[in-house]
Amino acid sequence: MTIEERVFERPALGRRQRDAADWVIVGTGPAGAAVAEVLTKAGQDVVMIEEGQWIKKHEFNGRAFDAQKKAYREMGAEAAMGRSMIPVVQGRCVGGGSVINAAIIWRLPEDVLARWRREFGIGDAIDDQELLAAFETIERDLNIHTTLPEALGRNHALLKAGADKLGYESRIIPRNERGCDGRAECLSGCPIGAKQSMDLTYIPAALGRGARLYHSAEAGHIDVEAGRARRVHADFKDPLTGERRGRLVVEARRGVVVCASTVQSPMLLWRSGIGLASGHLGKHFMAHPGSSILGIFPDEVRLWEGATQGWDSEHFRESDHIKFEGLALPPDLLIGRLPWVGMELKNALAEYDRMCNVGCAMVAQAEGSVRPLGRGTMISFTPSPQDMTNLRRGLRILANIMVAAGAVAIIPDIHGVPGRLTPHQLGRIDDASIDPRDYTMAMTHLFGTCRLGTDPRKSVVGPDFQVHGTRGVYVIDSSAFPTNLGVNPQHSIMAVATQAAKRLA
Amino acid sequence: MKLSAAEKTWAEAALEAVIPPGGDVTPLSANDANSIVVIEDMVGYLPATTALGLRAAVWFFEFGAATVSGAGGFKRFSRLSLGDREAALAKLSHSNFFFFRQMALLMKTMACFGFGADGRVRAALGMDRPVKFVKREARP
Repeated sequence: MTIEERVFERPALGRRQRDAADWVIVGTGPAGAAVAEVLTKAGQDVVMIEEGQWIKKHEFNGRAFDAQKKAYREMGAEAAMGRSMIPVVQGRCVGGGSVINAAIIWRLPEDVLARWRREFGIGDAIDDQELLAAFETIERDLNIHTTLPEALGRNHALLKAGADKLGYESRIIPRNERGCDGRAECLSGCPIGAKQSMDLTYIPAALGRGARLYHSAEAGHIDVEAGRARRVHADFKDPLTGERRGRLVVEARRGVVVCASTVQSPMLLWRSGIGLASGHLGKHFMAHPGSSILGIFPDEVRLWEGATQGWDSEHFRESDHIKFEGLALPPDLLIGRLPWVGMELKNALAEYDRMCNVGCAMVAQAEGSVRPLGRGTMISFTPSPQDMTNLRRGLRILANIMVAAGAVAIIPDIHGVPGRLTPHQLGRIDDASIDPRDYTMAMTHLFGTCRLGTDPRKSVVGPDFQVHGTRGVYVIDSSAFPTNLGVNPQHSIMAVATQAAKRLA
Repeated sequence: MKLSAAEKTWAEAALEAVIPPGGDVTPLSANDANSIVVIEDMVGYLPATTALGLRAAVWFFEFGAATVSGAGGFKRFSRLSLGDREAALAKLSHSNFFFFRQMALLMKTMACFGFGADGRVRAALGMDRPVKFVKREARP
């Protein structure tokens, strides 16, 4: 049987498909793929169910909206509601977020893990030695290495120079890529398959070891009988129109592993009536919301050449709960971030080739929630005043970094602050409001809605990642993380998932 | 859900105000770049509540934007001159009311998805100029 024969986007015959496996994995992002990798290597029979479609590299064309239509949840229009409305960026395709992220790699910060142990009672869920081994394996498998100079791009080189000049620690980012030629199209899906996303690595490997993949199949609920998970029900749907193509039922001989994301994992449990006892399901939603700021340089920057994200700094992560990342957005995303409209906006494009863009992500201390709303999902989240104060400070520091690197003007995009500032006017950022409605933000990296812990009254899953009170249902993704990380989470998610799956195998 | 012909005309009037024709960088407008397809796709394929919200935004522009911005009296947006539409949109995007700013941002985002993806626009921005700072050669 070839790999292709183990991949289904509709029932093989008629309107109903049945299957059975030792393990049913819901979700094929970094968590689900890592679990599939471990379990299939251990000789377990695995079925993967993925809501999104399998997009091949030649289908990516460097255009943001085309990618959003195929690979993003709600075409990128999902949003968290609160005092402001913040777009939530989530992948929805085979490979999940790994297909549309910028391949940034960070290991789980030691201070974050120490806090989890100290404040959240995670028991023996994460072992230092096992975690280290998992990081090393993933780094080898995904060809993780520091971005090479020829693929870096001037945007990131300038930011590194500016940070160095001001004495801030920063780095050229290690990424999971093989053969990147620096075309700054990561967020639209890599058209040359250089990014070592899950759809190109762990998922085909698992299929090669006998796993089956049902994609364009939305998991509806998990059947629980006598306190144990028995099967998963899903609907095959056209990924664009939502039109139903058939039903899928997969018997789980040993268990169901939910790796569907911080938004979708609690929703699946909710629909299945699982994990509700503690009252914490869907709560403690945390994230890294952020905004970006532009600089204008005297010479060409050429945002479209180099890595989408090649430079970052966690210099202020612990002290101010902020992290910086160079962000080479394509014109279809960047032009909309300029604070003008009409001919004023078009005239600003004369400087497009000299623009440098950088993002500030908050390690937000605020918590929100995820809950069902009709047939959909309601994400509630409002950054705290302290979070916003931190963001404002971060944007000011980034302006300083760009000026130190030679920027002649700064474009902050904060309501109430002039659209364009000279280096002598940067103090206007310090005077900006901290109302989240005055900032254009987006939210990535979601955590916490199926919180991990030893106490069933305060958490949803136990140290073995099994839902308290229900045997055979495991939640292994960032929804189990007790807090946000302050760094890009893919690597940590994969390493924790690897460790957890090894214990299942 | 599908935009009606009238809604499409209204949406195009708003998109043109975001990125009008003319200027030194490129003469192309959002409509020349077919940005309307973005709105049509979103209304057509997003979950009903989100699609309805987007459709409501098109109606807001047509029947409310000129009035609430104070730039066009009680006129309908698509019946304003391009200059007046740009002025109304600019007032919305700098309004002290968050909702009005969001409406302007939404339309701007839709316009730019189409405009910034157009090959002619990308060429005008310099994206087809010879590489100067980065060697673009595939590596093993």
